[in-house]
Amino acid sequence: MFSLNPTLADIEVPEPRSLLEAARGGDTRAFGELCRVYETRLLRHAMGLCGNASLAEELAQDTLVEGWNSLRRFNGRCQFFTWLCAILLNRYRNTFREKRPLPLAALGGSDQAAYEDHLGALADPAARPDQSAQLREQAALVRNCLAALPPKLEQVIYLRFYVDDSLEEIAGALGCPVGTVKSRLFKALEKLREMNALGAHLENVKTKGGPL
Amino acid sequence: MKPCANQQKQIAALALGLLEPRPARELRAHRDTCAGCRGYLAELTRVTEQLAAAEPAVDLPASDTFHRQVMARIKARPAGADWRMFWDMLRAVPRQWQVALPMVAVVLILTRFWIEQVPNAAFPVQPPLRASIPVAAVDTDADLMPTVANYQRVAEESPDKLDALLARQEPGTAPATPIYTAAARSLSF
Repeated sequence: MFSLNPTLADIEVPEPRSLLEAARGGDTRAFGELCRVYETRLLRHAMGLCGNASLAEELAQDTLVEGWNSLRRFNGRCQFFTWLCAILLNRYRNTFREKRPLPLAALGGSDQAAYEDHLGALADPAARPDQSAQLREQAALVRNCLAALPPKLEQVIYLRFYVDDSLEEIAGALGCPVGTVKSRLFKALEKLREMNALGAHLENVKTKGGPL
Repeated sequence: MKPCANQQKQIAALALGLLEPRPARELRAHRDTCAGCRGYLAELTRVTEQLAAAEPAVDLPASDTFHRQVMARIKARPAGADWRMFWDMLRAVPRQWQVALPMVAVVLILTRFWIEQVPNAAFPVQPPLRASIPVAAVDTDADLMPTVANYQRVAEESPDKLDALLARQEPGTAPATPIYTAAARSLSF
């Protein structure tokens, strides 16, 4: 392509759409470029799920490899990253979740620091330490509640809240109608509300010593 | 207090930010007058706020080593990878038996239907054997033996001819020759 600035022509990155087309044609180099575009965001999500850098890297790698193997099934009804996130969550659920239950103290030095930073980042920096601790607990509770949801409900909540996509995109990534996504979101929200209410009730019982 | 049953979905949609402006305004107006719906919306809103607050926030920059490892795995994809994927899919089936069982049943029914309905090119349907055997013309004028086979042949030619044959073979007009003479002889002691 002609450019007035020859250095720009050298560093120009092709659009992901054209990379995607090339990758679907079997071009590994194009897929490598796509990976470069998305791998940091993907690692961020993997880290959020695993809470451990080495597991997160393994999960993100598996996701990209599976994405490459299943590229023909990508229907283009959603962003490529949304599709990758759906794979990431499935992979995590099917393979990695049993590796998760590590106590924080069991993590390696850098992992532990990173995870504590992660939890710290959830809290408002202006908040008092006891408030930060409360927010951390809440975040952990939310993740536990999400993990307790049926897979399809967890998928839609995860994609809606953390991948931040429209209902049409989520439907495209999951291969189902928009109405199904809506209905799953409602069910998931209702279940989370019940869990939340139960958690609040148990907390109340614990602090006040009332009847269960 | 419980929320109004017909408003629950609308309230969930409002909490998720999925409701259009006009129904949202109407629902808020209803919320101001209904304690049950107000409480329900507050609970759902709390859940959505907690979900939003738990967004992953740790950046883990992708290193060159990470990228090289991904590319090495992609390029080293073995020839049997497709079979391995197929095998993985099969292994996933038992986890989704609620879906798999009805699908298998539907496939079996469709296969049976297809076998019955669609002519099979490899095994073409043979025409009936009877059609390939030339049937001798029946001479109904001649005296025929009163056997089922003879009646059938005459009936296939024409029902009228069968009537005529039966009329000729009325007891009074039956041929004088005994039927099944040989058999009768062998049975008489």
